[in-house]
Amino acid sequence: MRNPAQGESSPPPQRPPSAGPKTMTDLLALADPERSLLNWLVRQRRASLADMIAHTQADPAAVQAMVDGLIRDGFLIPLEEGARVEGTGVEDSRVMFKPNLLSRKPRTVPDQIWKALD
Amino acid sequence: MTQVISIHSFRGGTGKSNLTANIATAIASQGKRVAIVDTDIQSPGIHVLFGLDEDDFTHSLNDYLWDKCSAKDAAYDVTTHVTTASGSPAQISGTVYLVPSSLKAGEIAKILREGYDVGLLNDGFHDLIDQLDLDYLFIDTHPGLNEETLLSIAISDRMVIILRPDRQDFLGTAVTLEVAQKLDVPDITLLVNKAPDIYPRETLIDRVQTQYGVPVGGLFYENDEMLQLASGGIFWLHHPDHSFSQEVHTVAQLLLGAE
Repeated sequence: MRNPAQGESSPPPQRPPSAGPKTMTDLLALADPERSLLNWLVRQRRASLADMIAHTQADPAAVQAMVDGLIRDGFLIPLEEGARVEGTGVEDSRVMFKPNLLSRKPRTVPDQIWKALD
Repeated sequence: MTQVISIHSFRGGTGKSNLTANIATAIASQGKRVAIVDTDIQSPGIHVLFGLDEDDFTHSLNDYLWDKCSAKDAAYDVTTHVTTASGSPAQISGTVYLVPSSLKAGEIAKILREGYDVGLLNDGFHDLIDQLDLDYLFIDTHPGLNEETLLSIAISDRMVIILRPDRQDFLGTAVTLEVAQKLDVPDITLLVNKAPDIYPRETLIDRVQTQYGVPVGGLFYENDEMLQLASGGIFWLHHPDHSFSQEVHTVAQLLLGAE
């Protein structure tokens, strides 16, 4: 049954179920805003929340929420502990965030095959 | 500002490594500092075109990814390795560095088994750019779409896709373009390689550009001289007046113009 609050828009893409590190394929499955931000961050290698707000030109609280979601899902890791800027609820811009991506998840090929190649 | 250019093809056998080596060397011949990273970890081979033997390199990209050396340690100046048809060293005014991938079965298997930190590869690219003072970084990728290729596409300023006039290549290129658009690649150029000479140049270029809506930067016809060289060197240095060589320089100028 449709939730009236959702209107006619299509449901948002599902987030990958497990936390990181993630792969580039996981990145491709993200919704447009998250994928676009992460694409930019992969090129930058690391960025502060202030950098991300400046890049996206979006509402700071929305960017913070997006970053929180990407951290929760394992796509981003903060490089150091940050503090909330008093009265804004926004993460201190000195905290840097970097993509948390692996080239591939471990393969399930039997050990004896890998050992034969060692 | 350094240009990071990933060279990609959806299928194997398109001449990707050959064109990468030729174009990179042509750019270096214009006084530029260029590096090529062989990220085709599963099936490396571009070092052969530069006359580099497995015994000639102590470190490879694999060593960097396992933290056994710096990215710069795995970069070899191959400028003096390239020769003309007479066997004499080519006079290249710039510099070409190559970061080869390991050819050892166990080391290839280890990467396939364990993967690597994507951030580390990205950091390595930037270390090379900074420490070698590069104008251009070429990433020679594994054919098809896989995790390593996706990263190379994602960090590129420009993506060059090589295809043959072949239905399978045409379909695969469409998929690659869709992925590149999802990864926000700023510039995409198509190169058509191994075209049979029955296809008129303008007709083929027009057909490809119309199909994909992406510019064709060069069209290379199949030729016997390339088959005879058999990856034994940089083609345009061996056959400087060949139409293939002229097209290599046209593509190089296109990339230089985008600086």
